[in-house]
Amino acid sequence: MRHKADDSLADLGRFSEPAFNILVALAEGPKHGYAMTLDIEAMTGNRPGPGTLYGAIARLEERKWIEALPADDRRRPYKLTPAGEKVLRARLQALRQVTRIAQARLADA
Amino acid sequence: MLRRLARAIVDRYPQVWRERYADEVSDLIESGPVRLYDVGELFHGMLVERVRAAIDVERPSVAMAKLNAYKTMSVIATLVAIQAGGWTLRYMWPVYDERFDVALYAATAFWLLLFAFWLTHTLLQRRKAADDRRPFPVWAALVALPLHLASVSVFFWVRLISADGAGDYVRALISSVYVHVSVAILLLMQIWPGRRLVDAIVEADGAENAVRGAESQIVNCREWIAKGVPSPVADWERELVVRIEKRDAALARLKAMGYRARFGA
Repeated sequence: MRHKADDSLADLGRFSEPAFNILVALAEGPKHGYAMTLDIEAMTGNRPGPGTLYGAIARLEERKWIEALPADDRRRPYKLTPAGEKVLRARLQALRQVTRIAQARLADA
Repeated sequence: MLRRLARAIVDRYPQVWRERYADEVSDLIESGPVRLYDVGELFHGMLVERVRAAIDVERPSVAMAKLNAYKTMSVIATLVAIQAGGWTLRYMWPVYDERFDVALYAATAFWLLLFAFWLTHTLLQRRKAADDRRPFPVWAALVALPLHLASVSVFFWVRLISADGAGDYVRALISSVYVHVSVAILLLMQIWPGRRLVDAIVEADGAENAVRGAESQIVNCREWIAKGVPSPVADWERELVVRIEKRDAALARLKAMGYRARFGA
């Protein structure tokens, strides 16, 4: 069974995973593109390329899940919106459920 | 070199996109090492944004016509690439060299592998629900397309050398071109930028046509009723309401993912 909010992240197609990583990165507080890249690399071990990062940022902004703050020189920080936080919480809840099931199954095996 | 290439690609993004994101992306490019992968995905992103910018999501029929024009251009570009490859090989090696048998065997093996991959992928996808089906993986299409064009160029070169006069050459070309272009288009469509947008346009265009169809049926029914022939006009009126709802939902989905929705351009 899939959650509605989870589906809306899945609607981003190939950008759904980078979008999720961006939401997680911004959960800590506002960050600009380079800071997000470093944070995502630290979290996942993979550095997202600029095309993927800004493709996902544009789609998240379009859905009003993140919001751009005034630019500092060429760097523009983004922050998580309440709608974005809701989507992130829903996705984390779904992941927790999957993790619980997987752990129970591994314990049974 | 890669950094300069990445900057050049960013300059090729649509103007509205550049006004909004180019400074930030340029800063990102300057701030860290640039990999070949980054250049490739920037290029793919550029294609996606250009297609999005060129398509008017308010008018799906016009968007559909534009997409078909792009497809036609892709077919022509594929043909030109095959011809150019074949003629270049002919210029470099005007006489058939038996060592090229190896290239022909390699090309045949490649097509067999490609067919096996496509068949396996299709069979695996058929097991999934319609909504969960995924297209041919982009990386596979990106690798297979240049290999396919190179293989066809070798075949075409062999035909060019062995052709006995223009008629023989044209017959040889026609006999093989359909299959080769079809394969190339199949691969091209897998790396086609903004596939979800394309799917949404196709859906909205179909829904619009369905509404027009129901409207036309209602007109026909009324004409028959005026002539005294009983006709199911009420059924079609109900059907029209359903089709309008579907059309509006499809248009809303399309507009939500459209370029204009994002930038207000």
